[in-house]
Amino acid sequence: MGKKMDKFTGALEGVAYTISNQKHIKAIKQSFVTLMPVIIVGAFAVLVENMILDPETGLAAFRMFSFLAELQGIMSAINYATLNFITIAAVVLIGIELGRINGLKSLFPGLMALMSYISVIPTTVFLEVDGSFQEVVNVLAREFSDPKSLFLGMFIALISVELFTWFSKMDKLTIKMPDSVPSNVTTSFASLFPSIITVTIIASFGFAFHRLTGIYLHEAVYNLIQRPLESAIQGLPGILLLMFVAQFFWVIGIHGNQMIKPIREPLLLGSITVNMNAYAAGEEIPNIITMPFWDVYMNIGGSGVTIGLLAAIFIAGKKQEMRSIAKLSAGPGIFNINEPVIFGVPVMLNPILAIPFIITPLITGTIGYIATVIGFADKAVVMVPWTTPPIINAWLSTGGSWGAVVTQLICIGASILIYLPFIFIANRTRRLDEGSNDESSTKIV
Amino acid sequence: MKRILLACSAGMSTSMVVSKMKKAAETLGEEYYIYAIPEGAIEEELQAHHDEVVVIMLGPQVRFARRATEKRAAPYGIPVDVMDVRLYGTADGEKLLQKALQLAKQRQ
Repeated sequence: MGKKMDKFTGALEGVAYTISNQKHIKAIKQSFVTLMPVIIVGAFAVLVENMILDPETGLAAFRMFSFLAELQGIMSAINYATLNFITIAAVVLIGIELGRINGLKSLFPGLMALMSYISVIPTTVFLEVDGSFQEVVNVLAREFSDPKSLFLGMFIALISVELFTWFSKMDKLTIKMPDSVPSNVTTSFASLFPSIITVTIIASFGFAFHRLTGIYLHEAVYNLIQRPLESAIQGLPGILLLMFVAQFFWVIGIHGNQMIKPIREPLLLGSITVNMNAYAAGEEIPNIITMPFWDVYMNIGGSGVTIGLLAAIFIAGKKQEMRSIAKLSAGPGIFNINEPVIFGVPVMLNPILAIPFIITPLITGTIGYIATVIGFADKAVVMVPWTTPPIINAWLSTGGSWGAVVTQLICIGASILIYLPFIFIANRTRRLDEGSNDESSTKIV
Repeated sequence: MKRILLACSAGMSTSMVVSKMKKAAETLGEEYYIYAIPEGAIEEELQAHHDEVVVIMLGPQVRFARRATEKRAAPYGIPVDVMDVRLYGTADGEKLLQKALQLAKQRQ
């Protein structure tokens, strides 16, 4: 049993290694880390606009503050600059990150990606004016800068920078300069041919695609890739599967969220951005599953909703060591950080606690989903950082929905009830709290 | 100042370990700059401070990054290790510092 377990763990670690070192995945993951402040700034603008400046829902509804409504333009400008421009920012960042991974020593790949991206999107839109369609030329439609084109942007950024790298490394394509020419001049010329060729290939591809198929590249990517993925994740089974995978990795002590981030971030950050835009515009909120949904209902106190585990230990835990680690973990737990729980209690490679650790977020996620579908809890409309404590994150992210707060409390209650019986079992298991060192952990099994 | 570099996923979960290690270093009278960063930022950190970093210790949750980190640190002769699960989970600053100092001796 021990050997099998070792093999199994080893295999999963191999998967983790591959995922975390695959360069395109890495570039996307890093870019979304850098993008986060942009999304939070946008969230700030949405919050201020709706809670303070809006003449119907905000502070400006009171007569003495009605002058505040005049200032709405400031926040909507910030909103457009951040949430509606997220794809442009992502394209540049992915270009820079992949360029860096590929060993190109300048920021130019970011521009390369942007040029290529702009070259495949149509810059003519048709507007309906007084019943007839008018052609408007030379504009960047919002759908190309907001999350609707995120996947097209990601693909074009990755492909263009790969091509660019490939051409840059071809000796024949770099312009040689005499040694007397300053090196800065040489580098600026060195990327000339590779960038001309790259952007020509990408632009021609976009052009040919439209001519041959009759549909634009962005429509194809959206309809064939982005939308199916979005609807998969917007359904309950999709998000539960994603959570299950993350929890599975955590059980062997590997950062599960890191493993699923490449899929989760574009989809869930995309869906909350769409919600924020709809909220700011006063439209109906489309998405149930968003990044805050994950944090508010499925990640309370950290992965595995370990707030319930801590409470269960405080209520029923008999082992001194477990209790002292629970005390130590309570502080970080408030901010949804729970590595001390996972490695200290431990949950890692613990056959008893692994069960509730995996199933709890699936159950609380289902509770949150049902509560949102029936309209008891509001959908998330504001991005909130994952380290925001429970209750506050439920309230803020939903734009002040008490239904969401109550639902989160129900989830916390459920998590305690799920963990409790396992703590009773753990109390009776002798060696449980000794495990989890690399050698001894497998022997417990 | 000599640096003991810890790394995990976001650099947050390790901060508790950092403060415990700092305390342990104080009582031992050792002067080190002990801090935590996200695993993805190791490369940049090394570019900036490779002459000061004496050891890199990874959180067990990012142990899959070990090989890649070793590759990055090798040119500077900086030893890399994954923190013991138990010591990390219980934030045992003393033992982790001991281990770090022991490893730092191998720095070329």
